[in-house]
Parts: sequence; C-alpha cells; structure tokens
Amino acid sequence: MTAVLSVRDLGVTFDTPRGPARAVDGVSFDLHAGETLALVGESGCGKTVTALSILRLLPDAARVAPGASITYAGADILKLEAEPLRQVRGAGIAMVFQEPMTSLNPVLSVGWQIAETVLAHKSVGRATADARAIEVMKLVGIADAEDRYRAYPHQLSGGLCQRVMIAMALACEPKVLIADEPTTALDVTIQAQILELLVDLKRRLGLSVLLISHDLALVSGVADRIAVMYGGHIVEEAATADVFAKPVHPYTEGLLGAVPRIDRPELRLAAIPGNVPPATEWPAGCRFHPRCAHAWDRCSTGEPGLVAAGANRTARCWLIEEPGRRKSS
Amino acid sequence: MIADLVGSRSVRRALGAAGIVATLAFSAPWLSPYDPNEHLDAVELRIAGPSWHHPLGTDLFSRDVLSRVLYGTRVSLTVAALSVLVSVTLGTAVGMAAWLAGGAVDTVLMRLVDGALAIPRILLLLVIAALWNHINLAALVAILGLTSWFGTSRVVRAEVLSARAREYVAAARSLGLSRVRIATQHVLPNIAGPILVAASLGVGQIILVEAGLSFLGLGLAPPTASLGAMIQEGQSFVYQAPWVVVAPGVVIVLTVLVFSALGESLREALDPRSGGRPA
Repeated sequence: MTAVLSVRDLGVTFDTPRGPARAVDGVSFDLHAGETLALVGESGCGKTVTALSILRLLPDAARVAPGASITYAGADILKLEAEPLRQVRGAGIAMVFQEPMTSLNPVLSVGWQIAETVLAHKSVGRATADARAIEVMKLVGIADAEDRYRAYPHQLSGGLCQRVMIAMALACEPKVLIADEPTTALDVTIQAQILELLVDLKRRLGLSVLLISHDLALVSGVADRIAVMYGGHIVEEAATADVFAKPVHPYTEGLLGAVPRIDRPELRLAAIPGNVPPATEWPAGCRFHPRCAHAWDRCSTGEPGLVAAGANRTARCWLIEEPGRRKSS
Repeated sequence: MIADLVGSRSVRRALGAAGIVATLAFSAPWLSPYDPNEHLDAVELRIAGPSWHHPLGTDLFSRDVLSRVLYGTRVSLTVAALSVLVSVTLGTAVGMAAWLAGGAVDTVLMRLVDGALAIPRILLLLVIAALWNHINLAALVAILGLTSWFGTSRVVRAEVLSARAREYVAAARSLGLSRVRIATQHVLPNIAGPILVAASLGVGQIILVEAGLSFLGLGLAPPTASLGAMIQEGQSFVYQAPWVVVAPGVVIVLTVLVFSALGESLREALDPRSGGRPA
C-alpha cells in the first residue's frame, strides 16, 4: 500500500499567556490509498489541530515545529507557496467541518457555493460549474438537486447541509477527504446516514478518508485503522479489529470501557478518572500517567516512545516493555 | 436577506417615506409652479407672504419659495446620494483592502483613518471649500464623498474581521478559494446589511453637512437653489418673512429624519438579537 498522505513529526505550539501550549507533539502517520484512518480522542487531545495543520488552516498564533513535514503528491505541504497550496486545498485534499450550518455561507444559495469551489479550481464557465454542482449534489444523494441548488442553508436540515458540505468538498475530485467530526452536530439517525454516505463515496470514488471523531464506537464500523490521540501524542495506532480485540494502551482501554456494548448489557460503563490537562501543563513522563490505573514511578519520570506492540501496531506505553505490571481488571 | 428586510414593517414604512421625499424632489420640474430662479415681480412680490398663488410665499428677490424648496431638495438629495455612493464605495474598498493586505498595510491604513476621524469634519470641509474657487455639483460631491468614508471603512473592516472568523470562511479556504474570491463572493454579501445602514444614515448626515456648508456660503454657487443656501439668504429678514427660512428648514428636518429612520429600521431588521430576522 502506498501512502497518499504522510505526516511526520508534526508539532504545533500555541503561544498563550500561560506559556506555550503544545497542542500537537511528534505526531506521525500515513494515510494509505483507499483507506479510512480514524483519529480518535477526547476534546483537547489535538485531533482538530492535526487536521487543520494538514491544510495549513491554523490560526496565525500557531507555530509548527521546524522538523515537521506533511507530504502529499511528492511535495511538503508545510513548505508550499500560496498558489500551489491553494491548488492542494479542495482539488487534492478537501475538508468537511463539524458544523454544517455554520460552515455554509448563510446569504448564498448552496448550489452557488458548490459552483464557487468548482470555479476556484477549474477554468470553466458559470454554466459548467452549475452543472457540476448539480452533479455532485446528486452524487451525495440530494433529491431534487436542481431545486435544492437555489435553496439557502437555513432552508435545509442539518443532514442536508452536511451533504451539501460533502458535495462541496468532492466537487473538484480530491484524493483525500478530511472529515472533522462530520456527524457530531447531527441527530443520531442522520449520523448513520452521513457515515454510510462517506463509506459509499470512499468506495465509489477511491478516496482516502481521514476521519476525526471522539466516538470510538462510531468509527468502529467505518475505519480501517484507528489512531488514538491523547495529550497531543498518538498513543496507539492499529487496525480497527486489533484495537477492539486487545487494546494495548491503558487510555484506549479506558475509551473502550466507556463504549456501551449491546452484547454485554450487564457491564457497567467505566469512566476514565480526571480530565485532559491543559496543553500548557502536560505532566512529566507519560502524559496519561495521572489518570492511568497501571501507572508506577517510571511513568512519572520517563516519557515512553511510540514503539511496536505487535504486528502492524504501535503504542506509547511502558507496559510494552514491562507487561508484568499490567493490573488485571 | 432582501426579503427579510422588505418584510419588516418599519423598514417598509421608512422606505415609503423616503420614496415620497425622493419622488417629490425629483418631480420638481413638473410640480413647481414657477421657475425657481425667476425674479417674478421685484416690486409686488418682494418677500410676499403665503398666498393662493405662492403657497409658501416669495423671497427677497421675488422668487417662489415652494419652487425653490422643491428644486433645493432635489439638489440636496442628489448631492447626498452621490456623495454617499462615493463614500460608501471608497469606505468599503479601503476596509476590504485593509483586511486583504493585512499586517502593516492594515495598521497604517486604519491609523490614517483614525487620524482623519480626529479632524472635525466641518473644519476639513471649510479648508477644502475655501481653496476651491467655483463649486459645482461634481466638486461638491467629490468634497463631501471624499471626506466622509472614514467611518464607513472602519465599520466595513470591523464587519470583515468578524465575518472572517466565521466557519464558512474557513471552509471556503479549506476548499482552495483565493482570498480575493472569499472577500468578494463570501464576505461582501454578508456585510451588505451594515453597509446599507451606513449608507442610509449617511444620506441624512450629508444633507445636514451640505446645508451647513451652504449656510456658511461655501456650497453651490448662487442662484442654484439649495436648502442651506435658502436659509442663509433668508436669515437677515427672518422676522419680516419667516416663511423664507422655515420652509427649507422644515424640509431639511423631515428629510434627515426620514433617512435616519430608514437607517435605524434597517439596522434593527438586520440585528438578529432584535428578532427581526429569522435565523
């Protein structure tokens, strides 16, 4: 498998009044052709910042670590000039945001907004762009696309707006789709429809999808691989089945324990104690150790590296070196 | 958005009132009973009071006051509309440019605007008008338009800054739209409302400023009828012939009120907190 998108040693620091906040630190991953990789973690773990850095959409206050690289189509996105960068956005890598209602311009018709994206990348006329807009609206399953072309965002439901956002993202045939919590703002029944649509489009168009979510259960049916993030690090990365069968990192274990299981209704849901500390105050050693049930003194002094934890999987935990210290639950 | 605005009752009322004022002013050639500049009868009709033939009386030069008020309103409205067009276009362009260029250009532009705003407007106008020999309509529009865009550019920049932080701008950027395209296609339609408000409030303001300039003798050259100039001409015999001053004065007050009401009702209809606009 070839990597369409390679992220290496990505670090992002925000300067805040309380000191530098290392929102993302040493994140590396590959997105292979035709696969769905899910970035999973709690709020504040660095998922969205990672996604935004891929398209260089971070606010001006963010500083990207000098050694970082994000390779797409043989070029480092972090070093692109303005015009090639603009070409990558939308035509190479496209993004779908969390809030479809606010991500659409309220005063422009939705079809017009899709056509705008086409016009930004192709030297075609208005009529061709409009035709393409209606074509992608049909592609994402919008009925009466010709009529809906003229609709304004406030006239459409959340689910339809998200379909429009996906249509906008796909209008210029990108290779990679980044979906940042694409279903979080939607009703549960609509969530399933939108996820199904993403899976279907991925298969039909041969997309590679980077799916960002806080919901491990939700991504389990969609993702080929899962990368779990905590405290700006990737703490575990493995195939979806492996993550669910036997999580290596205690944090992944905790996340799984918090997922309701229909096959084990007698199980109490386990909560991970405490909260994610602010990015200005990562604890020394392993960033998860204050909340970890297995932690011992080594965890508060030395920071574990991301090491192999079996075939095709990696994790960032001292338990890999000292499996005897794992407490049975 | 336009539909929401027209749907607001106060906006419709204010628009109607502004429409009546504008219609009256621009029908002056047909409504006026006399030529506004004709000296009708220097002996009989010198500052004659209101009568059947001259409902608003006549002035010192035996000219019909009603005709002069109608023509004067037309002049004042034309000057105001054109000046506002100049100032709003310029203000919008500068505000957008400040954001598009960003960084040092933005800072320098906005500090210059701050500086210009610190100079009293009437003082600025007096200096410019004094340097001009013969002020015709185009010159007056240029003077008024070029000195009244500072406030608009601040408003536009502030609106652009808040629009820029919206998610749809981030979404448009993520899909590869250029800055210029985002500015003109996405941000401008969203700030059309505040610009409209600034424009209609501006019309009222400019009418006042123009009247003030004319009153000081720095407006359009006589005998062109303008509301301010009429008051200036009538002030010396205000006790003998109050109608010469009162008629244009009332028209100024009414016109300014109408356009301020229009601006206020637009502002209210556009403000989501007032509930005038469905979310």
